[in-house]
Amino acid sequence: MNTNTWSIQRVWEHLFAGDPDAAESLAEAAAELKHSGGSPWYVQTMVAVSAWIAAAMLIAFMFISKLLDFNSSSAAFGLVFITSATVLAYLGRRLMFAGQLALALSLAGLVLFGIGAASIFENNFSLTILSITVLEIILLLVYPSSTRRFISVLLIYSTLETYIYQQIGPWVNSYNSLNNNLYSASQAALVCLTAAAGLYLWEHESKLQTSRLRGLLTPLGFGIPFAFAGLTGLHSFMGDSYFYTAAPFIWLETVGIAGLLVWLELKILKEVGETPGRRMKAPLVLLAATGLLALALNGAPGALGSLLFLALGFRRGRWSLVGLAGIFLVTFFSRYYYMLNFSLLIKSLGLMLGGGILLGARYWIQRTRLSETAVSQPLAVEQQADAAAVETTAPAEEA
Amino acid sequence: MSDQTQIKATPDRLRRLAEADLLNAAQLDEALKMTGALPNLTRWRWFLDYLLLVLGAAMGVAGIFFFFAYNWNGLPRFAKLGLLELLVTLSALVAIRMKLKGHPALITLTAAALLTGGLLAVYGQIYQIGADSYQLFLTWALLITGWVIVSDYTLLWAIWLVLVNLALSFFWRQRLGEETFGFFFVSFCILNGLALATWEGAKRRFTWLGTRWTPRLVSLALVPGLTSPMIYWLWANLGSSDYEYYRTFLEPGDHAAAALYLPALAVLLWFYSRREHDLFMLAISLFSLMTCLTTALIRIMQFSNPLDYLLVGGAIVLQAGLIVTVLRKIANSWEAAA
Repeated sequence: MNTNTWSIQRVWEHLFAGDPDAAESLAEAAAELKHSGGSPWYVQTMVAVSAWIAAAMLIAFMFISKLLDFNSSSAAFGLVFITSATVLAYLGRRLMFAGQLALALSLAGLVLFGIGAASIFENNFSLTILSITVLEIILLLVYPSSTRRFISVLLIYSTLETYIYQQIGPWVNSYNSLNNNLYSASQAALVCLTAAAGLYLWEHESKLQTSRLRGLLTPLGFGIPFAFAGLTGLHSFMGDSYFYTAAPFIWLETVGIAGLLVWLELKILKEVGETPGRRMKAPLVLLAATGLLALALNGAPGALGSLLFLALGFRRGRWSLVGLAGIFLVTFFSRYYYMLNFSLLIKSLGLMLGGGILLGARYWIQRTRLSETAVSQPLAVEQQADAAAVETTAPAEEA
Repeated sequence: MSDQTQIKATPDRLRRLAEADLLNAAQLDEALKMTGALPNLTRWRWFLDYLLLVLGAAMGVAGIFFFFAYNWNGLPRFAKLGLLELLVTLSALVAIRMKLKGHPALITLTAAALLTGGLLAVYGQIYQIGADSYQLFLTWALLITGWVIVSDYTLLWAIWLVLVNLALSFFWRQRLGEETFGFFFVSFCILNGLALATWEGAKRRFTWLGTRWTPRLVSLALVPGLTSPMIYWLWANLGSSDYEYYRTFLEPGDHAAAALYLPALAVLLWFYSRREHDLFMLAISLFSLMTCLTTALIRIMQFSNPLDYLLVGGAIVLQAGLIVTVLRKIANSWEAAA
């Protein structure tokens, strides 16, 4: 679909037309592009997996050789490891193995810190978790590697979620209905805030990319959708019996995400020229469609959120986000379908009906577009005739 | 060395220039818009159209599959078969009427191909013919081969290849048993290797083969298919005589599969670094090599001394660092020669 034939020079000529410094900045751009950028996501993923295994080996060495014990000293060692790793990551950015060694040291340090913190806080799980959250927030801000920052985002969410569950989870000791409501409300807030953060981030992508926070864009931009899928997937996949007896505020998640989706849709419509007014139909149709979708998917906020990230990915030309959101969408929808409390016959009929509605909507949109084109063509002919008339009369007026 | 200003203004390159403070936020957005990376009204319409088409077709076909899986007794068997045959025929006719051009036609043909499998499954369900699973997948693949050939559609080719792979796997499990599993890996790798070679070879002749996701998907089957028997072989052969027990399980097929590993990996690394520049293929091949080397090291080390853990950890860091450096150098050389 995208047949981009633009060269860097052509882009420069358009962006810097009339700028005396254009040639100089173009030369700088050429020099910058002689080197490839950072490693692609699949290399970073493999590096992260290797680093975890290396970290496990390092920890095993320290405990088996009795250099360390399961006590508070581990926390100090962990902090030393993490600090050394951060310094190494900064200083050794151009060195061959520094990045990988730093990553492995940092992850080993994290595990050691966790073991030590558990000992310091006398196995108070909540405090241990909270201390790891604080540590990871600091690392997210200071550690100069996208891979480590991405891991930090996931760890912050995981520890935060565990902390909330430890504090108000309905099944922590024995079932508590008040906690059930509180926990559900807190989850709704966290899910909506996460989706909103993802929306904000991708909507301000270019600003962030040119700001001092550019290093946070990729880890947060991809970490947040993963965290969102984790939060919403936790309840879908781990079973309600563990997390809730029911999720009384799940509708809040649906409403929140649907609201964000509507906001994005209206913004896109405004940008592409389908503004309210003569073409009021488009926003109304989209609003109605989103409302219907939210109703149909109430109870599956993960599926609705995946649509939000899908649209964001396409909007920003980020095909990796589109692919990720697509996988999330299929997974959440399949799970939702599986969980529906109907017979296979009813569910299959529902699926066929849903498919039919989507194909029908596509057909209707195409028909509407064709009729719009048919109406606008005579209008365009009239406008051309008007323009021609203006051109022929203009010289006479000038004379 | 070519002039870097003449290279294609991809979104990735434009973003890198913005990160290097050579473009500000507004200029970056403008550049992304003019190069088509950010969608305009036409592209949004295409996106919505494609999304509705794919989701609608997928839900419809899944619904039909589940409907017949329910095995509704109220529906006579001839009605079941007749309905499915009607759906297959109608879908194929609609696709042909659209001259097999464009996404609607190709997705309709894909639906017909998928429903053919549903038809075979329902046939087996009604008549209890006692066929093995591999027969179902093989017949399914054979029946849709004609459509796959004329479609020029990557998705349909990928589905066909998945069916053939499933037929091969089930054939081995159900007919040959697990004793000859080493040879299963050999045939699995030959099948997917041939598919990959055909794809890459035919790419210059057929423009629709230009997409990269399909060969990468095939490599995600091929490389683990090469790596797993090699790990097994290393595990059984290396280490002290205490491990003699494991060696008794090795079959000729396991040796054959292990012997295939290094030549196949060498071909992959050569082809994707010299002939067809693809960093993804190089990355998974190199990480496969790293996995095998680490397995060998773990097996040799025995872990009787705590230092062994440190050595293995260090070796992993070294290998990962080396791979990243090599990949970066290769990517830099490609970028400079672009």
